[in-house]
Amino acid sequence: MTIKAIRAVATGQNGVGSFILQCKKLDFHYCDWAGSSKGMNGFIKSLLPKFATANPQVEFAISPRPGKHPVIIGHYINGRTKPICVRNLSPYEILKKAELLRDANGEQLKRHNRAVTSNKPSVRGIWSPYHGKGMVV
Amino acid sequence: MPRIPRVRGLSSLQATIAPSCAANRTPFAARAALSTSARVQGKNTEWIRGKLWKGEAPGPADPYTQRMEPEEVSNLPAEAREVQSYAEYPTPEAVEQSRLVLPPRRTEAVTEKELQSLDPSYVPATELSGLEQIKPLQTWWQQPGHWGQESEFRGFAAGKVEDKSVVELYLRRAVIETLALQEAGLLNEWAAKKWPAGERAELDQTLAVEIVVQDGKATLKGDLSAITGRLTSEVEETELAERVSADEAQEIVKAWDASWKEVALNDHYLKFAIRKRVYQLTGRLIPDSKLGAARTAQHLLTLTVNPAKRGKKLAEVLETQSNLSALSNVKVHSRKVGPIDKEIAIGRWKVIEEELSKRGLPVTGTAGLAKNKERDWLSGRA
Repeated sequence: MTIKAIRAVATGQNGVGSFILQCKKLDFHYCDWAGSSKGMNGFIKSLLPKFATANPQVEFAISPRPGKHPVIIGHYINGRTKPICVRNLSPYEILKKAELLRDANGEQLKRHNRAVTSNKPSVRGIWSPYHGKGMVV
Repeated sequence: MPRIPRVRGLSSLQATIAPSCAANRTPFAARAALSTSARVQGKNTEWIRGKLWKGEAPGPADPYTQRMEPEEVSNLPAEAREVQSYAEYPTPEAVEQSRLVLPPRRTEAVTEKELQSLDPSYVPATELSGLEQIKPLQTWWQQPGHWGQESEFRGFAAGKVEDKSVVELYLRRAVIETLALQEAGLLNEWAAKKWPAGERAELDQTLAVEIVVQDGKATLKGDLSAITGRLTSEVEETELAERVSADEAQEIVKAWDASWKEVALNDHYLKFAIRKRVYQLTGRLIPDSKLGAARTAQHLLTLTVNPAKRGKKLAEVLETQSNLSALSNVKVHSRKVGPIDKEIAIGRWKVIEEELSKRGLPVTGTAGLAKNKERDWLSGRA
């Protein structure tokens, strides 16, 4: 089940609130025979136990896919999935990809040109003391 | 189309006299007579042709009525006549000498009239059951007598030996034989050739040769020339003699000193020859990748007796590892997770199954039905 946001205006909590990880599940697919899965098999054996222990809020599923390149698929609470092919990668490179998927929010990649993205941008812009007439104290 | 109804178009005299209908075909003699008359008719019209062309006229005298020379009439259908033209070529020598029973050449059957003159006792069949049944050429190799035991594949090695002491016995025989050939300087020449399997008496004779190993170097004591002579003689193929029984082999092996296994085998020719001979006698093949690392007869014996096992699958390894299976957020599948597994996981599969069986539809697969054709019809593909 995907989680959908409640259609209500969020009340500002001044940074006091719970953090919800957007990634809910990670699928690890490997092949027993193929050479491109060598790194993936090593990763599952050696690095995955630690990674899975460190991320108890994420569900991990490990299953073989014979005759296919190894792949990690991230499932997110917005209902989207992100697959990354990890063929011929070393275990540590695969760990980086797994971290990338864990930290992603599930949205499609977008270019952010500004520091702040607002739902209701101000018409007047940000106030500055150096512009206009200045204040008489 | 004739202008006046009920009146046929004007047909030529030739056509009316000799209808070309296949049902009442005229005999050859009658046709020949007609064609000569046509030629006579052509001579009568020569003068007008001469006037028209002002000289000698090209082409046949009468292109409309002149008949072609009658061809040889065959009762065979068109495709059979095509094949018959191939049959004129001689059979290749390799095919003639083949031990296989090949299908006979296609021949045309004699007609009933001709047959009656040849064989007066011939009575034509009046019912279907009276006719001889001939199986089609497609099933030629399935028919009895066409693919016998002599044509079946016979491997280089006979069945696999399971007992350890039997393997050891044949390994010693292979080592003695190869070392004997090496001493005689014949190994390089004979390593790649097939050696005769030999009888039981020959086995005993070979095993009677002693191997004395000193610092890895082996010296053979016994009648070596007999062994090399037997191996290098061109003997006709014989069936492999019955193998030594496990109990007997155990007794023979026990009597030997174990030091013979320390014989150093560093020569590639030697190792290759031993491996091949052991494979021929016991049906156990040492893999190439393992053979390179083997240095002594003991190594070869362990490789022959304990063949390489399949490596463990990752799911099997993870099962033994407790660190991953103990975690509550990790699920390890030993098998590919398919669409049905995904439906089962969310509890929807039983509903799907029920609904499909209610409608009389197959739960898995297509029940041998072809794929949807309507889409192809709509898109104009079919």
